Amino acid sequence: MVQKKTILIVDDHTLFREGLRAIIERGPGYEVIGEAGNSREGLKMVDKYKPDLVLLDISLPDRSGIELTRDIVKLSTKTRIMIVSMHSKTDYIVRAFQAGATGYVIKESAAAKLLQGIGSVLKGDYFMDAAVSQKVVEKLAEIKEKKVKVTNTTYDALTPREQEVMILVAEGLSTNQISERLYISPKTVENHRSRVMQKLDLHNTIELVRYATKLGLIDIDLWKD
Amino acid sequence: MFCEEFTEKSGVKVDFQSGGMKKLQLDSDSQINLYRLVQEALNNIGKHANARQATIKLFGASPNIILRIEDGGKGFDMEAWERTKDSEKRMGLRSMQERVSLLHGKMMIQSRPREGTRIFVKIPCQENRHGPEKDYSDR
Repeated sequence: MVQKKTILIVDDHTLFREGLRAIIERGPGYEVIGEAGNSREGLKMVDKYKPDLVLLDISLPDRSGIELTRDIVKLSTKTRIMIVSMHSKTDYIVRAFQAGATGYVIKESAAAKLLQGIGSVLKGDYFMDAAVSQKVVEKLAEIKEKKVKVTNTTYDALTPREQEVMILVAEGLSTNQISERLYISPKTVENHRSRVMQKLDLHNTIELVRYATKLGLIDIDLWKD
Repeated sequence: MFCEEFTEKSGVKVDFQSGGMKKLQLDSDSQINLYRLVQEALNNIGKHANARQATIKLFGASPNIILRIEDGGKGFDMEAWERTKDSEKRMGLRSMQERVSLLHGKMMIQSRPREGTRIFVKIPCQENRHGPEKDYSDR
């Protein structure tokens, strides 16, 4: 038997949640595993059940559904999120998708549209209510193409030797240790170090370490407990 | 640019960051191999990771080049992977490892189910012999 897809509903209106549940349970293969009336409860239930889909309202009493979307994405990568909202403003829709939702349906939509959306999002596709998609496409057309590539021009200013010194400083080596490692005088190490700080606009070693970490130049294992 | 094409085809948003490479004057073999590594990593993410986004960092860290590839996808069980990595099904990461070995570099993989995968590659710079002299006048 095929396992049912699990769905969590987060909306502060009890009657609306009940309505959603009734519609969803009409569809084959879906199971509503829980309901939450605010984002705190919602997040707890996501953590506990790791549902396949969360149907989420934007206006929640404690936090916005968009903020909650970001947290859900971090907490459970398998969970897809579809916003079910009364808001049809383009900004809300764009922000919801940016936060990690993959579906958006407005509350005025018909039940069939909701089920169609749930089916698409659970398949891994994006879904947007036809009532709002026209407006969103118009808005997207206004946005200038965003380049994927980001070049760190400040770091580009360093010479290979300065890169070398910077990494050794970030790894915690003292001036004398760097001097021995690179066969250069401590004075030269200091000169390189201050040029690095100047070029990168850094003011102390902590800032230098932070910078090197951000670029991924030194190993800091964020997954270690 | 390969990353842009990849984003278009796969829907995986790629954040590509790089710096400190221009002054390293890499030879063409190293450049091609780095390109292939990024390509292989993205193909793996597209095929297996089920990720929405990936980050690639390529930085000159003289005397090495550092390449980090991270995705927030489904990840995998490292222990199970270690046991089966020599099987034909595991070609993607294995071919990356082979390429890194050819370049005398090292590659580390970290993955956690449902959290994603991180690949760290460190390759010694093979500089272009016809390029400018290295900044070693300070010895």
